[in-house]
Amino acid sequence: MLEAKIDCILLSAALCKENEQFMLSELHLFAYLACLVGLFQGWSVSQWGYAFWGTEDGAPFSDALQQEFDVLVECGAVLVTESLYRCESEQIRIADQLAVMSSMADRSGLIDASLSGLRFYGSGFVRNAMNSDPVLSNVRKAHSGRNLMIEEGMALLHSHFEKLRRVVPPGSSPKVPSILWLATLGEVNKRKEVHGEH
Amino acid sequence: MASTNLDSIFDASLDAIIDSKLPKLLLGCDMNAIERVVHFLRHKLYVAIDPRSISGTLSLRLAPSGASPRGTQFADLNALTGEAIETMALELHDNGRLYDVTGLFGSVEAESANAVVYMYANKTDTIWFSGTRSVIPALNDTADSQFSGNTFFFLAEAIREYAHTHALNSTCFILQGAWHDDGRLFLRARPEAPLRNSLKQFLANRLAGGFSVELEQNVDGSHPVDIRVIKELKPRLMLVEVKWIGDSVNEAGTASTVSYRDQRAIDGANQLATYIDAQRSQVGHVEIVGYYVIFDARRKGLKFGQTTYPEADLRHYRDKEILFGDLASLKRFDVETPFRIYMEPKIGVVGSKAGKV
Repeated sequence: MLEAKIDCILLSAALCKENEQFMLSELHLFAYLACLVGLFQGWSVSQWGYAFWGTEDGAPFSDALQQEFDVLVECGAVLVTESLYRCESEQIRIADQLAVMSSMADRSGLIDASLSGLRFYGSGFVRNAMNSDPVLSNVRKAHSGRNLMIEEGMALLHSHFEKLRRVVPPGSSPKVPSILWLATLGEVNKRKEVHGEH
Repeated sequence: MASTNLDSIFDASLDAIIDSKLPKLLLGCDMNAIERVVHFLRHKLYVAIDPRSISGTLSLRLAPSGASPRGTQFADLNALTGEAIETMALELHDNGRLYDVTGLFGSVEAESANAVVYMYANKTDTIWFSGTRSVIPALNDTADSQFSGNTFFFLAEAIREYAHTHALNSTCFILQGAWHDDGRLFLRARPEAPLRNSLKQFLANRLAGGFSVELEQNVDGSHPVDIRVIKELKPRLMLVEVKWIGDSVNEAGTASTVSYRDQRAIDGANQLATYIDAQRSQVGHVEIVGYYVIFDARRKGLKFGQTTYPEADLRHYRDKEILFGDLASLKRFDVETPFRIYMEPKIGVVGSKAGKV
């Protein structure tokens, strides 16, 4: 699938640039966050091109993304050592070229926006914050894998996004809602700690 | 907790972020400039400098493109590692060169008129732009600066970092709740919750995004494990057992009733081994590894009500390892070497809080 292939190339290179190496779940996590930023920007689920599932422990996962990632690993573009992945330099060069193609501008902008949260707060914080994402929270409570895009939490997500849009005018960098959304989820986590909810 | 309560937490959190200075900063400032500053802080400056070594104010200005350098060029930031910093002003240029502009730095309003200026003081991060100050919301309690604290890809490394930066001097706010007295002599009655919550929060925020960190809710004799760390969509399950040794007081805080030493640590190791075996039969083809964390609050010669102690006695156990002997539970292939997390007493306070100790 083309969209998943593009996201795989862009994200794996971007994650390597940030921390030199990355874990497989981070690929799925930041692709999901990019998808959320796309929804905030007015994209439809079908525009995104592929679906995400929530695993039992509330982590996002995409079959399409995984298939494309497996191809990158099999052809040696992405190397793995003890379940930590890193890109060959040629792969990063390809990603850089892809990112500046005008036809890719919107998509690579969303991928970059998802990474802005990692740059701002760090990868662990993002994963921890995303535990309070309304859609992923519902999956974790249900203890079963679910399609995230048809979740009831999606409606709640949109109502929160509506509120956030009041301070983020149209045409703003997608990095802005990405960071504000993660900051909100981080604030939720903090307040839950105070209320004794884990 | 009812979902309505969670909904209200969510609404209040969203309002708090919307009402903070963060939206205005992100919308009004060049995002690439902010990212350059944050990248430098996270990957360079706070790798070399621990924010806790800054007693005054540290400023970092991102020089406008093409600006002439001023001050003295920094050859190696690592020269600052371990140094106490009172006040320092730095300027980062397009070419990546860093200059020490302490003494040349004007008012922050003037310096930020045409540039992004980051400031750190009193555990608070602020970013100035166009003469306007924006405080970065403190969402990550595991780091003094929101932009410090590296990401860990290995659990053992993260635990060691936690021991050094958070537990040794009980700097973690949650961990402080484990103590009965300000001098950190006696633990409160049943201090398990703050101990494990403190470690859990650190791991959740600082392990890379491929880890999921959960508190185990069923803590009893048959489910002794406190924290579960799941790596990468569950091919690896790491069970973290938390125990403490030292002296604790009763519920009323009127007497010391529990004194745990090496035998308690040995018991915990055996419990962990038993639980790993039980888990292995339940979860099938998942690699399981046990991590044993012992918070060490031992003090020599403690007597409830006594207010003064020789400093050597209070620190007697600082370098005293726990004597596990030839314990089979710790020689297993699936149990890491135990992590003893020593917690220092607060020496200057012991005598002054006579009533509490």
